[in-house]
Parts: sequence; structure tokens; C-alpha cells
Amino acid sequence: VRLRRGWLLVLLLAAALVPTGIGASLLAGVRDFLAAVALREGAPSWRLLKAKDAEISPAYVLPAGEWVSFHVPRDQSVLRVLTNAELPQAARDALPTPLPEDVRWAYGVRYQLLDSAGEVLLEREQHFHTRITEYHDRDVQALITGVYYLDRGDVALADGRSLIVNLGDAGGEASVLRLKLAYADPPLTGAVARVYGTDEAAAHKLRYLWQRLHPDRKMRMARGNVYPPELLSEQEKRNLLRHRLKAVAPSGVEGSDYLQRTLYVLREIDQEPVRERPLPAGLIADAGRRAVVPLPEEGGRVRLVFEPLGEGAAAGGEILVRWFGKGLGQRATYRVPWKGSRAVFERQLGGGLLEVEAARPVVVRAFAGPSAEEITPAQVLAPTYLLQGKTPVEFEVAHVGGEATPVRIDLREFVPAAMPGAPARGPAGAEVRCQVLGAAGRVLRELRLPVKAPLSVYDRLRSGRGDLAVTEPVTSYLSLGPGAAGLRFLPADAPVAVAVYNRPGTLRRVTQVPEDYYRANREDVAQRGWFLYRPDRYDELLAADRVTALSVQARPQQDDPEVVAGRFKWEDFQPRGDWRARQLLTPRDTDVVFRAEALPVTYVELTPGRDTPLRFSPQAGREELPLTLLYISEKSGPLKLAVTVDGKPFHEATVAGARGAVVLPRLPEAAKGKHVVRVTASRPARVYLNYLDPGKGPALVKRLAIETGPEGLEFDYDKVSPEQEALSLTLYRAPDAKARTRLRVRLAGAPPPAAGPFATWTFRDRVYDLRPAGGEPVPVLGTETETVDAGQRFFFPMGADLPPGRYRLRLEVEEGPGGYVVLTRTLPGPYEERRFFDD
Amino acid sequence: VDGGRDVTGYEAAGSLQASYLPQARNKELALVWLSPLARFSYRQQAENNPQVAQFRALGIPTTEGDLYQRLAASKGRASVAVPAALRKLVEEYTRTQDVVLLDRARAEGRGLTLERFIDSGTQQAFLLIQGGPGTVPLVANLAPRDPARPETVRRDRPDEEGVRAFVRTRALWFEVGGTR
Repeated sequence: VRLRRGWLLVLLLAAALVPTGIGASLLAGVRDFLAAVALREGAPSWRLLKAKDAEISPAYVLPAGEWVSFHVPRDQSVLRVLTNAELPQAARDALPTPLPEDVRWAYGVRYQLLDSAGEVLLEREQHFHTRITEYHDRDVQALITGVYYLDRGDVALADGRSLIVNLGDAGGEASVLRLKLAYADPPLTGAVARVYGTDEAAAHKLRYLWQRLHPDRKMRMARGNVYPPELLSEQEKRNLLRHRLKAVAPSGVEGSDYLQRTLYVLREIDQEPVRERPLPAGLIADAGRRAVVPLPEEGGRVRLVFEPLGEGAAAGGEILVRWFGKGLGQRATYRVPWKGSRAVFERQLGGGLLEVEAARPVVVRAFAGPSAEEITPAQVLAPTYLLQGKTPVEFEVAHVGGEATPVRIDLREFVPAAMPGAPARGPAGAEVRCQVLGAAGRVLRELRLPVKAPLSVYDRLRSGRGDLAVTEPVTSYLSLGPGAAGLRFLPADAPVAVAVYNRPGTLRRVTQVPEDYYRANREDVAQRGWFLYRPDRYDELLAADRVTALSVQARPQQDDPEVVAGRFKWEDFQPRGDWRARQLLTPRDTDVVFRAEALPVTYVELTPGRDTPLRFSPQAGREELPLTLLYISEKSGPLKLAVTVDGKPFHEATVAGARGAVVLPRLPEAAKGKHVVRVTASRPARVYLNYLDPGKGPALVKRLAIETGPEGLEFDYDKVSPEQEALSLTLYRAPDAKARTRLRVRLAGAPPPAAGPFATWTFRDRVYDLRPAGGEPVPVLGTETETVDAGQRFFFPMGADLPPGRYRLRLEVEEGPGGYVVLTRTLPGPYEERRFFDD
Repeated sequence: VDGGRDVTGYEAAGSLQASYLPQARNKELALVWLSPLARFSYRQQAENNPQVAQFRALGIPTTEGDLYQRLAASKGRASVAVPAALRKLVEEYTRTQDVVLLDRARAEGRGLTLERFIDSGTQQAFLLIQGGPGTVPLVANLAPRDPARPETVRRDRPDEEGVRAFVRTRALWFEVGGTR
């Protein structure tokens, strides 16, 4: 063993000071050093390396059963007790680094003040929370703590916690302070204490003591000041020196009356504590969560910047960026290689949503437009209430004018944070008991609501500084009649959170189209569908830590795979009574799979006067091809049209209008397949032919559009499914229309909804505030020059609260220009259909 | 802080401010911890999005300005008379933030005009219930200090000191001269 010369000096000094008591501490330090050196194998520990910088401070073990006594020095008004809890180093090592911010360990110290006769004047218990603050020391290249044992490397010391004992509270002259450990929650195993009184320095020494202090000491003493020690006033300096802490030793004999430990205290640590970093700005994406970025309606140049999250971010794999535009065909997936450092994705995209999926934790920020304006969405938080607890969570139910009040209940199960080393647990699939209360709290009915859903990849439950995984919401809708006065959610064993929304029963649902479809934050829409409200005794729930916040994101639309594959039933509806309609030639959505059912109404443009090779596609079951030729010209007047098939004259017609349709003679089914067709026109015109598969190419679709008219329209609609069906409406207006249209759509005469619960809900009275669509003008057949805009599409979902049956849908233009409306329904999946042909 | 389990971690010792005390003589330091409930009343309400959404849905307009000047401009001598049922609904609304209660308040206040008003100086949100000419709007703080125990600031006239005191104390009602 090679001892340094400095340590030999310490040994000599300690020997000389043994009679004073100070030497005992020094000797203890030397003993610890020798023990640490003797045990060392290979490289010395940081404890040993930092020992030369540490002050040695004796501390006394607080036993759980016995008291440790300290005589109170004279002329004291308070005593300071500095305690440090102990825990096994292995318990600390089992936790991650940096130590999570929410790690806190509890312990308590019991203390008594006694008079000179041994009578207890005061007895109290002081509770503490502690943790370990660690620093990364550059010199020794290790994590260190400010206080430690040199000879007990298997024990870690937690941060000091102080107790100030006000002797004046004793109600008499206190002679003895007694301490013991009240409790120490695992992983804490005990605690040590140091007791200090104060000693007043002589006034004449105050003048020069400051000059003799080491600059580091001055800096430490003045740390409560906003300015450096040099700028302290003379009075402040004297005040700092006036009272000095003076250690108080316990009474009795070491080993029998108390146990002493030697603490190594590092006074000067100039590094910042190693702490969890605050989350950087942006959205987090990792293996269990996706980030969603809404794109503005106009789209533009979009730039995503990815940064690694956390220390030692791993490289490898790729980041998936999925784009969801307006229609089914507007979908794309892009792959960004991930090398563990900053990466950038840039692309021209239309409005909609971007979804980011990453296997490694990343933070993403989004920018768009020529000025690269940041479009990273702000976090949206929604309060939610935990059902785990002793008391139920109750919501009052109010009514407007005796109407039933629609209520939405969102239940989610969350996954509590697993203890370190414990396996992560998934959602258990709980069941929640919900009582509908009448007057005076009488239970009218009890519902059992299941909470079984997959974990959400979009939402998180906020918990302290971290997030917990939650399931997707299980939503139930109720219609609560005037007799219902409240909802009571009984305490649940499972970790379940509830949020309750409502809306006035008579309130019309207003939607701005298309703006609301692009507003990912539902609080920005013209009118929210549902409004959160607070439960009773909110304050008590808050105090019991049962009010938490859900961090929620917008979701990309889930495309129905049947619709994507072209397997669906499409229907359009005509109104009741008298109505007027026109046929519109609207551009076909080239991103949607072409279906044979659309052959009769889909028209492909031919170049007049030129042979065009074509392949006719008959509909299944038909023996003939009932071809129709459409023409559009700039001017009206006689127009002679001639059609040849494979060089042979097929049909000739002279028409008068600028636009119209010519029904051609039927081709036999045997004529399907390749042919060469030529259409000639006597003057400039555009011509179109049906029964041709356009594939991905452009084509026009002939639609029957109903004039809205001043009286409004009524459609009879047969709901065939108990689940939700979505009606799609498109309003076509004059291309030069500037004003918005307020179109009211409601269910007329439908019976009120049953009590529920239902999985989906129908807003039965809706107003659509429709912006003019713009776009390429759409020709109106049968007119000389009329065109309409590209059409504004909107939806009227018919929820599960409407059982299958016939419903009447009424449309009225309340304000702004009318036009033509098309009402359709798409039912996903294969379907059975009987067709009758007149071949 | 008496060392009890429920106040663990709230000690003043160890805070940076407390470390100045040795430089001073005969000085004391107190830390005041405000609960989230107490802080709620002092939050800026202008961007209370759920509240904005509720008022927008019911067609109740939101305006912004100086509350004192707004009330003084009414040139009235007393607050508008408001049915007790409407008062009760507003009080319940501030407690539960239930849009159905707000809708009922709107229905109950037939002949009266409701307006959400943001005081530009404090960014607090108020409900102004307005009557005819010559009356002062009755004012309700939409995030009062204690919705369960509604307090009223009454003044003989809408004086600046009284209005500022009402805003500062987060009382629920501000009333002038007793309702007519």
C-alpha cells in the first residue's frame, strides 16, 4: 500500500489532537481510508478518489427502538438536526439513471425534548421525503453524491433533510433532545443524524473574519444572494459570520448508547445534478405512440425535423411518415432512414394529416409553407376522473325545457407504471358500474359498461412528469329523460378513468364545411359535438389526486378495407313528392378503384374524327351494351354526330342543344372486347362514351342532382344496419357563388331516441355552413351553358341510436345560394343485388 | 409546516430564498403554497377554450375591454333585475361548467342579453347580464374563487375602486345598488 505524504501528516495531526476529540474523527477517516484501500481490487472507487475533497463529519445512527440523547447546549433557541436516510446501494443501482423525478422515499424521525429531571416536555414526529441527487464528476468519470460513506460502499446515503427543533415550543427549559427513527419505507433501511447548535462569534472578530475566509466558503455562504460575495454589504457579512453552527455530540458511550458513522461530505460540487431532461419541444413518437400533425387545408411544402429523444438514442430502422389527404386515394407512406441523429423529411403535400411512426424514441417538429411556419400542434389536454378510490364519481344531469339530455361517456383503462424490473402489464378489460339517478339520488337503473379496448397509440394519461399508456376510449351514448338527475360511477378496482360530456338536447349541431374537417383541435371547430363538464365534489376529487389529464391527438381516418378494395354498395336517393333535377358531369375520383357497377354512368372522352381503339366492358349478366354518347359544345344549334365501329357505320344523329346525350343502338354482348370507334361531329364538340373502364385515367361521371328549391327536399331513407351508416351529401352551386350556404338537414318525425347506451349517436338536427367549393366548373346536362362548382361534400352519420327502419330526411337552405344536391350512401362489404334488364 | 405527513416536502428550509436569511437580522421568511384550486381562479380565462366553445355554441358573443369602463358607460344607477332562478343557474354553471345549465340560463334570461366579457387588464372572463337602458349589467365572474360559496361585491355605483376590488377578489357577483 502506497500512502501519500498528506495522509501521513493527517495521521500525525490526528494523534496530536486525540485528547481534544477532533482527532477521533480524523482517525476514523484514516481508518475508513485504510479499509477502503485494503478492499480495493483494481481501480479505486470514486469514493476513495473524492475523499481528498471531502469534509469528514460524524453522524449518529437513529435506532428504530431506542433513543439517542443530545444535551442541549446553553443559550440556544433552536437546534438543527440534519438527517440522511440510508439504503442499499443495490437498491439504487436497480433504478434507472437519471433517477426518475417521481422517485421519493419516505421516512420519519421522532423527537422529544426533556427537562433536567427527565420529564418529557414535547414529543413530535417529523416526516420526510428524500431521494438521491447525483452529479457526474468529470475528474473521476463517475456518478457521485454529495455525502457518502467511504467504508460502506454497499450503502448509499440519500439527500439530507433538516429538522429545526424550536426549544421555545417545549413550554419549559429543555435540557435534552432525544431522537429515534419512526419509520423508513423501503428501500430505506435507516437514517443517521447530525445535531447542531449555534455559537455567536465575538463582535470584535467579525471585522476581520470575513477577510480570512476561503473564497469558496464566501461563495457558499453568500449563495442566497443574487449578487456575488464581493458585493455583500458590511452588515450582510457580519450577519453571515455572527452565528456559526456548532456540532453537538450525543451523550453516553459509543457502542452502547449510540453508534457513530463517518460521513464524507463534498461541499464544493460545481457540476449540475444529473436529472431527467425536460422534454424537448415537439411531439414524441416511439414504439408505443405515434405523433399526428394536422396539415392546413391548402397543404404546401411540409418539413418534418426529427431529433433523438433521451441519452444514447439508438440508431437503426426507419421512421414511417403516413399522409392522409382528403379522399381515399390521397394516401401515401414515406420512409425516413434513422441513424440516431437529426433527420429531416421534406415533401409537397396536400391538406390532411401526417402520422409519424418510429420504433426508436424521437421528437418531431413540423413546418409548412414558404416561410416554414411551425405547424407542430399544441398538446391538447382533457380532464378525466379516476374511478379507483373510496367514493363514486357523480355527475349532475340537467335538462333544457323538459327535453332529454344526450350524454356521452368515455371510459379508458390505463396501465399503471410498472415497478422497476416488473413486467409491463396490459389492460385487463374492466367493467364499470354506472347508475342513472333520479330525484333524491334514487337509482333508476344500473348499467354495466365494458372497458375493453386496445391500447391507444395516440393518447396518453398524464401522471406526474411522465405519461401512462391508456386504451382507446370506449364510448357509450345515453339519452337521459327529464326524470334523470345524475350519473354515478361506482368505485372500480381496475385503473379506469371516466369523462362525461353532454350537450343541450335542443341544440342544433353546426358544422363548417370544409374548415372543420381540417381542424384537428376539436375546440377550434364551429361547434363542438360534445361538451365536457365537471363532476360533483370536484374539489375533493382533485385533493384525492383523482383528477388527471389526458393528452389527446387527432386521428387519421380509418379507411374501410372493403371500400378501398371497391367492395361496397353505392346508392343514391331521390326525394319524395315533386322535385326538379339535372344531370351533372362530374370528374371521376381517379384514386378510387373503378367498379363495373359504375360502367353505365362513367364516360370516357374520345377525340372526334379520330379512330380510337377501345375495349368495351359489359356489366355482369347483361347480354347487350346500352351505349350512350354524350356531347358538349360551346354553341347550340344543329350538330350532326356519326359513330363508326370497326370502320362500319353504327349510328348517326342530329341534335340541337349545346349539351346532351344520344342513346346508341345496343351492341350485342358478343361485341365486348376490342373495337376501333370513331365519332365525327359537324362542328367543334367534346364527345364521351360509356361502358369503358377508365382505369386510373380521367373520366366523367353522370350524376342526377336534385335542385334544392325554396320548399326544401324530403328524402325517405331506409336504414338497413343497426350500426352507424353514413349518408354523404354534395351541394353543387353556381361557379361564381361567393356567399356561404347554411343548409339545414334533419330527421323529420323520427321517434325520440331510446335510453341507450349506444356506441354511436345521431345529431338529428344539423346545420352545415358550406363554403363555395370552387374548382373546375361541372357541366349541367340539358342546359345550354349552365355549370356548377366542383361540389362541397359533407356527411350526415346515422348512429346506432336509430334502429333499422325508414326515416325521413329534410333539407332546407336557410341562408345563401342554393344549388343541386346529391344524396348517396355507401355500405361497405359484399352485398346481394338483383337486377332486371331489358335486353 | 408542522412536520406532518401531509405537508412533507413543503418545508421552507432548503429553498434559495431561505438561504438569504443568515445575511439578515430579525427577518422571517414564509412560503405560501397555493393549491391548484386556488390558482384556478387566477388563471387567464381569455384562452379557456372549453368555455369559449360553449359560449360560441350557444351564440353568446364574447367581447373584450376594460370592465370598469364598460360598466361606467352604461350610465345606469342600479344593476338590472335578474330572476333568482337565473342567478342560481349561473352559480351552478360556474361550479360544474355544464353547457346545459348555461343554455338554461340563456332561456331563463328572456328579455335580457348575455355577453361573455374579457377584462383586458386581468384576462378574467365575466358574464354580463344586460337589461334595458339605464341599468348596469349584472356581472358574474366565470371562474370565481369559491363557486360553492358565491360572494357578492355590492356598490352604490360602478366606481373604479369597487370594480377593481371585485376583479381582484374573484367574488362571483358584482352588483350595483341592489337589483331593481
